[in-house]
Amino acid sequence: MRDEHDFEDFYVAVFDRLVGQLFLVTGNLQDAEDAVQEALTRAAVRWPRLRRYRVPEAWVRRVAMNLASDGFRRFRRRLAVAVRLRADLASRQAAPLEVPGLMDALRALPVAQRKVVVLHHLLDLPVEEVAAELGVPVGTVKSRLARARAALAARLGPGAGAGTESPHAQEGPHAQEGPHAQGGPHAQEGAGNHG
Amino acid sequence: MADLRERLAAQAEQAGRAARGPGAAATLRRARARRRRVLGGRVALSLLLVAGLGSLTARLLEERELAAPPPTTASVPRRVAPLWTASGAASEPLAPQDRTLRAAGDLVVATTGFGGPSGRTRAYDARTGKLRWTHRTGPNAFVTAVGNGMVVVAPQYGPLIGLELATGRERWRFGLAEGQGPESGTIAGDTLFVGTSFPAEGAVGPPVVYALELAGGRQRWRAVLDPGTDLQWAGPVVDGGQVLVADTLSHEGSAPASHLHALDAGTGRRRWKADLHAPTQGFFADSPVLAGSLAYLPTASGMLLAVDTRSGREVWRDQGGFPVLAGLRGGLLIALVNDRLVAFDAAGGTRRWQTPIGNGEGEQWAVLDGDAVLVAGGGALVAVDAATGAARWRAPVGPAVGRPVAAGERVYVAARDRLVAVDRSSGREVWAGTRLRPVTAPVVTSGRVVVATRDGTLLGFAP
Repeated sequence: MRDEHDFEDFYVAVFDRLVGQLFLVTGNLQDAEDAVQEALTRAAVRWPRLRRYRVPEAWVRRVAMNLASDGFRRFRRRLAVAVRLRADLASRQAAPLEVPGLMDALRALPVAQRKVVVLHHLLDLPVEEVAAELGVPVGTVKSRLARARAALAARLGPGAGAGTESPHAQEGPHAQEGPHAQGGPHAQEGAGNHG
Repeated sequence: MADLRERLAAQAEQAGRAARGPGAAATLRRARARRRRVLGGRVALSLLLVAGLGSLTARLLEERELAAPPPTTASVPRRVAPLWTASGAASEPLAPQDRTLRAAGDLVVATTGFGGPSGRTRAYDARTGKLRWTHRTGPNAFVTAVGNGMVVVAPQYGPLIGLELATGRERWRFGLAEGQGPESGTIAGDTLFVGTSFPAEGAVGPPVVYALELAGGRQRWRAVLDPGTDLQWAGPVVDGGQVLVADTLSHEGSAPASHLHALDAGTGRRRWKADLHAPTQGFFADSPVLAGSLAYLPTASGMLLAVDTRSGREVWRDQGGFPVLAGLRGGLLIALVNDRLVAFDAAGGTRRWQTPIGNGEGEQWAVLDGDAVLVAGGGALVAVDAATGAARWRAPVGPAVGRPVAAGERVYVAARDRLVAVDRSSGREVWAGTRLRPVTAPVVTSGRVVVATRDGTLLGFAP
């Protein structure tokens, strides 16, 4: 019974937090709740062993992240038990308030890029830990981060894409590049060379 | 503007407040029901495992496994200050790292302004740190290729820009289509070979490989590859009159497979393409390793493949995990595979020796250094005999952020919060530049060791 009490405490401690993180990945509260709930159910099955982990929450998050893929909606249809559990829920609250612009920008990213943004920028995991967590090469994490940050910067402004670990020194007034010729070379224009 | 982390945290908190779950008790009931179903299946699984373990054990015994390298006696390294400091380099490199900081003759070339609209390319005198020239390149600028007196730079979505290395004077521009981004390039003779992809979400436009006249930027040929793929980061490999480029999926499901393509270096005509057995996305910063008539390369599906460069025929494969190639020496292909350094018979793929290196955690690099292999990662720098796999020394330098660089009597490695110089023969730490946070491997040129740090500063150290 001690295991079950432990699990109940664990569940209460992590559920909201994990749903918040997964919401950034799924862009949909229901999907986030279902992914976390399914991951916690799997954790409950393994709880006697999992409770000895240093950070069981990381295991649950990893499972939930894996579930929160493009195919999750298809997967969820097979979770008959989950559907029954959902039916037991009392009236649902409305969708969470959204930080202006952020969720639209995140939803415009592929799910794989949202995952690395959450793991690296929200949870501060180094890229190698993100790679281990997602089971992809480190290079893939870097590529996804670079693309995600560039896309976020385009939608949210440079500060959003520049990373969070240190502010960038601002350059002087930025040069306007001239229109680019398509498919061939042309003479230099607007180059800012300083001896 | 609040930064990205604060916005993410605020949004996660809002969503967490709105979250509703069935509760722990219902979850435990569901888990108990599921556990009963799982127990039945576990009996059958156990039988399968017993059968499988026999062959696995036999295979492991065929290979010669060596002991982990001993730690080198720790010594207190001399703390050194940089000889020069220059600010303004990119604090967050656009991966891969070697696009951010390049050595070129007596210069180091760095890009600035990641994530902002005003990225520039800057060239510094490696010896003094004095700024030689600046070029206004554009957003997310990076160095595409350096060689033959030229440096080719590009913003994230082009154009490609050819600059004179000595002066920074712009010689030419080569425009790209909207959304088309250059990857790394390779300069061979008077030609720049560079691949481009369309990396935006949902874009499945095929990558295009260009051969451009280096001096004037004129197009010699272009080759269109497979829709739904992006090119790997590494620059094309030019060898034996052909250009080798590997691709990967643009996103999951965007193409049935990834390939290694061989293009005729003179015409761009495709000679062959080899299936990489990787129906998934995965990026590697290292080019294929070539030796004789074989090319060796990692795949996104965690394989090491050997491909005949004359036909594209697969010669052998190893499926032990994501490999990091060190190189070839004495008929052995040496690669990091998970937590082991492994020597493969280059011709046939048989494992000749393997040495446990670390815990397999974190990013790792392996480079050949004469008759040794240097491995950085897992908190240590390790030297291993390339012929036998015997450990020579192990220096606990801390988590590395880039590949080790050997020059003269030293090996230099950028660790998470310092730059370390290690004696090449003994592994003893000789000096360390501390209280800095490198973002790239160091470059060594003109009697200086130069590293870029997270706050956007370049530091030049005496070797």
